[in-house]
Amino acid sequence: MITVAMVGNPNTGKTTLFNRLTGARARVGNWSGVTVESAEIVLTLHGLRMRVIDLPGIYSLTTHTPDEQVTHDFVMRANPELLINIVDASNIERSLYLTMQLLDRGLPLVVALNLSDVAERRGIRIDAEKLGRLLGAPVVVTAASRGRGLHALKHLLAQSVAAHASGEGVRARPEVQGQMGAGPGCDDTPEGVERRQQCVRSLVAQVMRREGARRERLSDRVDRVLLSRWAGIPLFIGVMYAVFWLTVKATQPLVGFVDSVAQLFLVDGLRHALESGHLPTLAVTLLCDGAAAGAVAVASFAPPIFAIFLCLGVLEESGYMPRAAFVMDRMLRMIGLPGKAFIPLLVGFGCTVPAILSTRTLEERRDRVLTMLLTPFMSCGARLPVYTLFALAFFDRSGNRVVFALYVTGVVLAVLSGLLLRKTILKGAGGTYIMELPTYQRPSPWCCVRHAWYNLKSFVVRAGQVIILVALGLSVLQAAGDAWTRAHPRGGGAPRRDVAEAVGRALVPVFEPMGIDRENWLAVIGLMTGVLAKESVIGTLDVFYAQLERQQQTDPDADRPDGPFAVRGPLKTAVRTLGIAYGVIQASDEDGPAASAGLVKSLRAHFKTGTAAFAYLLFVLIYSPCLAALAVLGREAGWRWMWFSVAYQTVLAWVCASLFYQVATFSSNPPRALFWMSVVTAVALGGVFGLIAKGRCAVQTPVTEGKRGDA
Amino acid sequence: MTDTTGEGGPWLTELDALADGGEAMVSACPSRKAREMGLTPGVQVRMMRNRRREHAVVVAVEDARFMVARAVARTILVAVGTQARVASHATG
Repeated sequence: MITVAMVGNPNTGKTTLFNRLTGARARVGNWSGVTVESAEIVLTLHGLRMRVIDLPGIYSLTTHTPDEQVTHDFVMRANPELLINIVDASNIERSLYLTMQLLDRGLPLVVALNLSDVAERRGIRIDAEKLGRLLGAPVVVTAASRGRGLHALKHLLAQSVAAHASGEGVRARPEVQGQMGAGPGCDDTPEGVERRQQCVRSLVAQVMRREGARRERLSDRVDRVLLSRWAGIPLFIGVMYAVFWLTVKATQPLVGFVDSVAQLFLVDGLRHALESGHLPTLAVTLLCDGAAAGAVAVASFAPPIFAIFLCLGVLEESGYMPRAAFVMDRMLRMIGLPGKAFIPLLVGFGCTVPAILSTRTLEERRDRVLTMLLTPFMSCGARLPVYTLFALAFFDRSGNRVVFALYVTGVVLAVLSGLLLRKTILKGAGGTYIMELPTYQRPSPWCCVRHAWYNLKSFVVRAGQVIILVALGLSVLQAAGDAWTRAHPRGGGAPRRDVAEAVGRALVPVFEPMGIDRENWLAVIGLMTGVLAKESVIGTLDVFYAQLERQQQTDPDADRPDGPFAVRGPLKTAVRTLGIAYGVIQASDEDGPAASAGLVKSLRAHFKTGTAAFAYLLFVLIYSPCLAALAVLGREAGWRWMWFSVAYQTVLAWVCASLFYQVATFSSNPPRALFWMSVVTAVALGGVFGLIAKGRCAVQTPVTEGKRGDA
Repeated sequence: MTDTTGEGGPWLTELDALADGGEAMVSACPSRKAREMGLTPGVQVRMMRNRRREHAVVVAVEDARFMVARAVARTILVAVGTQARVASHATG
């Protein structure tokens, strides 16, 4: 099969064109470095099958960062049969440098003159036909975001691939090089680079003209406000607060609605159907209280997850991300990181995995490792459902402020950790950088919704698999424990135990200083399954609390509805509650306070106080990243750094949560609080001195290896 | 700042010495990445934002805008027509 690779400068619309051409749904955004890994799809054009590869953006074939290395290696070593070189029509001079390099190496290519709509708006006119003639390569004018020129590109692609298949090849014969007196070659010495640049300037002079004078752009006027120190930082905080308000507060009624409806159909409906079919009680319990309860937990997360990805999509599409990096540059310099490192941290609010991958755009390995270690402090979307549910249970009126406080705590801890690591085991100043600020663009509602939808789908599938499996596994353990207890009755009414309970009870003393009492061992099991995926915390608590409460009831079926399965009544109530919450329906005297969902009631019963709940949330925020994030961290930074991240974050989580709980409850038992505060301080100081000693011992820090570039 | 002609101009200075709105021509750029991104000798640049306390400056090169770390900007030499255009230097 013929391989076609898409190569060009960052932020020239390669991935948009790739998506349009192939029907793929790869992630796009208005900033350099969205694509850090290659993506491929098989495409059939006019009966010809081809493998189309989307590569990370590069400015030249000289590599400075790992994402550029991916493209370089593919272009130079994988020998693709054809390259689609995406050239930015609004910035043709810079883009053509790479084109010339590709031509110098004799690589077969077709040129897509993309962003032609932007160029037109700026009065830039390009003679595409002449450009093609001078380059000796076919040129097609495209505007991928509008779908313009796609048909012509597909036609050209099919022609080129057919020519390759028939052995004719599509090698370019650049006419412009002959004019400049420089033959094809791979000369990357300063003289060679200068000659190539002269060649590009001559080319541009022949094919491009600008109509009208260059005017000040709206982007420049907006930047004057957004980049200023006095307006930039408050605006950034305002934007982030708006994101969290929309994500937590505005979606809260929807969480309740989805939970009620999913509970009605997935749990109650399924139970009714299975019991009507006279299935064994064990099977009904496993399916309804295990798998279906897990599915309900996943479904109820959907509104906040969708909202956060929608907001991040708007930020990414608008071009605000690099500006945020500029605004936060000063703060990041304090912890020895370049402003550019802020983008991976911001992406971390969506998901830690792509955030860690985004660090590939940083030049220095030390900067990459430090950013990777700090990224998990940014509360990812998976932690959001845990916050939302606890906020519903304990902080009804101030829920969004509590969630915002958790996000801010994560950022503050990232800064403090950065300072500590910079002074100890990751010494050094942030590397230098040069980064493009894209023109602002109005986010396309369709693109943002699609971005949020695909992320939600991927979240539901990923989280669903984990949560349902965990819930099912826990149900099996519970059922096995029940069966064992029945088969081996112990005298004196001793409580029954299963593996999960034994583990939970063994570990719970460690968590007592952060307010988890011995009877709430389920909270510890929640934290353990949370390492698989953070959202599993809720799934685990949901399943276990429900089962525990049924065991504690004299009649386990007491809370189950009798009689036929009714849909109309509960559904009407759920819709009415939603309408009242959003002010669409006027509340009447008959509408009492909204009944709390089962899990919310259980959380209140087991955690008892808001202080204990907040300490638990602090632990969830800070402790070890999930398995997927750890796997990527290990791959990108090395396994040693992965284990460091697990240990550092888990100890820090315990220290922060315990310290918070002991300080907040100091007056209730001062001697006990003083004791635990001393222990926690000793652990924290031990950790800090350990890092200092390690930093002093390190003769040669391993993070300097692999340094590239001369920038 | 260096008078390259000995006759009063053009003057060579570092990119980070340009004040807001100042225009100049890149004379030397040792950073390969910056050159590949378009800051090549002979190119006209305009300073969009330069505050002494910030670690990066924003420059316009043709239709592109770049955030350049001050450490990099300090290594890029630019030629300006008259001394007056950079006299105020960066605003603080």
